[in-house]
Amino acid sequence: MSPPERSSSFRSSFQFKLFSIFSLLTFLIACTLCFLYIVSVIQEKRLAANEQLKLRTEQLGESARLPLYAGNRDLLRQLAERAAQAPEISAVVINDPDGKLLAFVGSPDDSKSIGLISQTVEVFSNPLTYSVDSSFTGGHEASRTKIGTVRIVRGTADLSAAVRNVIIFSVSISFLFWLTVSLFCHIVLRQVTGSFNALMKGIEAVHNGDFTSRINIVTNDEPGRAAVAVNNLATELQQRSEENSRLQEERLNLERQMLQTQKLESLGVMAGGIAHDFNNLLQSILGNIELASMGLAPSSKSQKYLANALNSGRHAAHLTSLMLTYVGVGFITKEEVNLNHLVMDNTEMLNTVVLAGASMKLSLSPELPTILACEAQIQQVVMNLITNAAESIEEQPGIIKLTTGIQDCDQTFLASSLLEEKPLPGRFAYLEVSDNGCGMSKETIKLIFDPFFTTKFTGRGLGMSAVMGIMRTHRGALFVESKPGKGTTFRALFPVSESSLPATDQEQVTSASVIDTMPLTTHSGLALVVDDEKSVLKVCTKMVKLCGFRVITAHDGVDAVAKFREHSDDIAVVLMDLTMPNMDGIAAMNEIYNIRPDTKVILASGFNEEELGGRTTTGQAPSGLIRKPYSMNLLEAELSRVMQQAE
Amino acid sequence: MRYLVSLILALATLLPSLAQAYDVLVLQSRRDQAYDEVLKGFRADSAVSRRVIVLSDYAEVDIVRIVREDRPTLILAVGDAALTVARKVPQTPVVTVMSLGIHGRKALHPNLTGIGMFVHPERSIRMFQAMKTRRVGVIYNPARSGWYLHLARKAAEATGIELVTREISEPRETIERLSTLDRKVDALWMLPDSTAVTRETTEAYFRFGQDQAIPVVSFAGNYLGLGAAVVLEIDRISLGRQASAMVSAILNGDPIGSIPLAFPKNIIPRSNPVVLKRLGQSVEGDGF
Ligand SMILES: Nc1ncnc2c1ncn2[C@@H]1O[C@H](COP(=O)(O)OP(=O)(O)OP(=O)(O)O)[C@@H](O)[C@H]1O
Ligand SMILES: [Mg+2]
Repeated sequence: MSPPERSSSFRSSFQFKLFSIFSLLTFLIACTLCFLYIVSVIQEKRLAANEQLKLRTEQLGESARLPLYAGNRDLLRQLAERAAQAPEISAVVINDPDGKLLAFVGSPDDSKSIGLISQTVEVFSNPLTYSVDSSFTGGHEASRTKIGTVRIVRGTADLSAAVRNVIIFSVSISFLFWLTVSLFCHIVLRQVTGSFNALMKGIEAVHNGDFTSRINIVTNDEPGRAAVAVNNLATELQQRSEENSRLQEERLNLERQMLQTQKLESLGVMAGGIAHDFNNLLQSILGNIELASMGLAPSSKSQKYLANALNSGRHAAHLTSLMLTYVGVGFITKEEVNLNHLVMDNTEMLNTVVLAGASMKLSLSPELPTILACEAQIQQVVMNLITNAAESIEEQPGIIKLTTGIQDCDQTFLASSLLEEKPLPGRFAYLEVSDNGCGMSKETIKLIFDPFFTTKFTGRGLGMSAVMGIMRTHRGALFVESKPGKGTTFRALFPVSESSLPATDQEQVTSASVIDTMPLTTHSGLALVVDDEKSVLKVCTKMVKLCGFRVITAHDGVDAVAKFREHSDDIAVVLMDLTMPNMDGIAAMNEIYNIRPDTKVILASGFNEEELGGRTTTGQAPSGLIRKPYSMNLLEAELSRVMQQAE
Repeated sequence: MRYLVSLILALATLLPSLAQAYDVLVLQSRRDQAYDEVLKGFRADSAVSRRVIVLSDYAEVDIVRIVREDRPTLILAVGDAALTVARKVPQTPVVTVMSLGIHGRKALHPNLTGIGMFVHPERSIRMFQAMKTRRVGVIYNPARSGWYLHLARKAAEATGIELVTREISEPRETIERLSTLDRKVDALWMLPDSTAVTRETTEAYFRFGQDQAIPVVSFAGNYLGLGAAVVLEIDRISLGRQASAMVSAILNGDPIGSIPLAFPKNIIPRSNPVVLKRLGQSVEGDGF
């Protein structure tokens, strides 16, 4: 606050108003008292002077009686002169009863005529004395004879001086009194208004948005109570603003999460679409290669090339499934997995990743509980983490440590997980990979999960995205500790499985790498094969025929239902693509079940089973499921399983 | 019938006069303790019948009618006012007391006698002797007190006392004349002279006495309080008796013209011991 502002705010303050009222009041009182005192003193002085003058005049009258009577001017003059010697006497006048002047002493100048006071006394015969007559008879005499008059005039200079002194004295006393009272008032008022000022300061602070300041409460008076109220208000406002900022943060978090989810979703849709088409194409490619290889003699030289093509095709299929995994919509099957076993089983493979100059250390906690997970994906997590760790080591002798263990986590700990979705608190089995490599800056850590983010020349930037996708599918948590130049530690936590459920049906996507045996044509009957892709339909038809079925085909759901109606009694099994135009596999399957509920329907899909499971909840479940691209063997096994179910 | 009428008239006129018949008409100037004392002395020694009229009780007293109707043999006038009234009936003899103007009137009125207010000069001189004073100052109006001074001077000469006199004709002169006595007298003698002693001048005597440190001898007890050393006071009861004797003599047939004015017989000397002591004065012998 600038000085003029402060003074103006002080002038409008309660304290100043009260103070000015009080001091004005005391000033008026002091003035009035002072004035009254001065007036009374002046009157008193004047009265005293008059009285004194009267006494003096009377005394002169007494002593002048005889010479007055005798008309002795000389003596009267002497008397008058003597009387005039007294201070301040300006004139002494003695007259005979007829008014004739007998004696006059004094200055004739009228300069002092202002403020003169005079006393005139008539001189009578002495009442105590007797005439001859009265002396003989008891001395009683009523009449008095006037002998003359005596008049003394007196100046008032001494009175004025005295009055001046009194004025100076009383004015200074009043002034002192006023000063004292004002000072006292000031002190008292400052104390009294202190609480008001504190209150005002507090209110201003709250008004300016400082909710943390509290008014210091000293008194229990009204302002004190108001201060308590203001403090409470401030507390409430503080709580509210904190709540607001918390809500804001939550909202931001949600928004961020939603963005992430949307991103992943759209990525998922894209990846799903690509994967579907890829799988169809691969089904056609792989199916044809398999058929071609079947058609060739095993000793044929071409057989080796076909096997290569088949391998590459399967690799592509694997990549496709990985792509789905990246975005968390992978085609997975969960089973009881022991992280220790998993690491032990893959040490060889892991060691191939670790380059020369670096060494890997294992530190596995014994009695590690199992987790419910897809083993292949967990393997991938380990692989990716180890790969990154190995790649972070540049020149120094690198050490990569792989640790497993158990950890009990509460919510606050889990809140710092790198994943958007936090798992429920509980017991976790963890897998930790730490290196002494280049490390990461905070900015880098923020970006590592972005698909295609990489700092490496040869990197694809998909490794950590996949790890995140897998951790998401397993409802796990991921923590990182890293500083540039100080190495990195990733720790992946998986919730410990409650029970050791027996492993469900296993689909070994990557297991078959070579075509082992030729299918046995043990089946007979009519099969309806439905697919909208002509190439796929052709290959599938051939494959089903090889399994021993007679085949009729349909190119979409509507066609399939019509064909089924035609041959409903003859059709033993329906192999139907899930995603088709006009009517999709599920709807067509439901129609077919309506026509004949005991029909065997195998749905083939480029997507995963979970999606399918979600879409068939309303009606009857399909008899079997097969994932594209499927091999001859897989198809045969599924057909056999379904046909056995029927018996 | 005529006889009866004349009888009734005779009774009507005679009876009251018989009932009221008295010898002495007492005229008292006013009701005053001093006058009462004088009358008390007067009554004590005489069995004469009398009527007392206090003049101040009436607005006006028709003395001529009273005298005509009552036919008193004698009038006793007490005080100057009473004397003045009594002089309105010149044919009736008047004895007067407590009157200052008596000496002046005696010459004009042959059937007037009485007792004056002056102390016998010899008595006064004797007092000055007792006080051992040589020079005595006196202020007087010759018109009023000349006769007394004449007697006094004679008495003084006989004893060797010198009277230093100053004459005045009006009161104002008193103060001035007094000052001329400065250091010329051993005592001051106040006379009952109403020109020399007035209310205004009384003070001057005592102031003079005080200034000169000399005793003031006066004539009335009042003055003791004002500073007189000694007073020669008239015994008023005795004065009444003296008057009573005078009245009896006249009633017994002595012609009034043969009875001269008298001095009061009994004088009571009184002194102010404090003043005497201050002055270092004593009164010896037959002073008192
Ligand atoms: N252990 C680590 N030490 C240092 N930096 C790491 C570590 N792990 C990951 N990173 C950083 O995170 C980035 C992303 O890793 P991510 O695995 O997703 O992709 P990439 O390794 O670059 O390529 P690729 O797809 O071949 O794995 C890396 O480029 C690297 O900068
Ligand atoms: Mg990588």
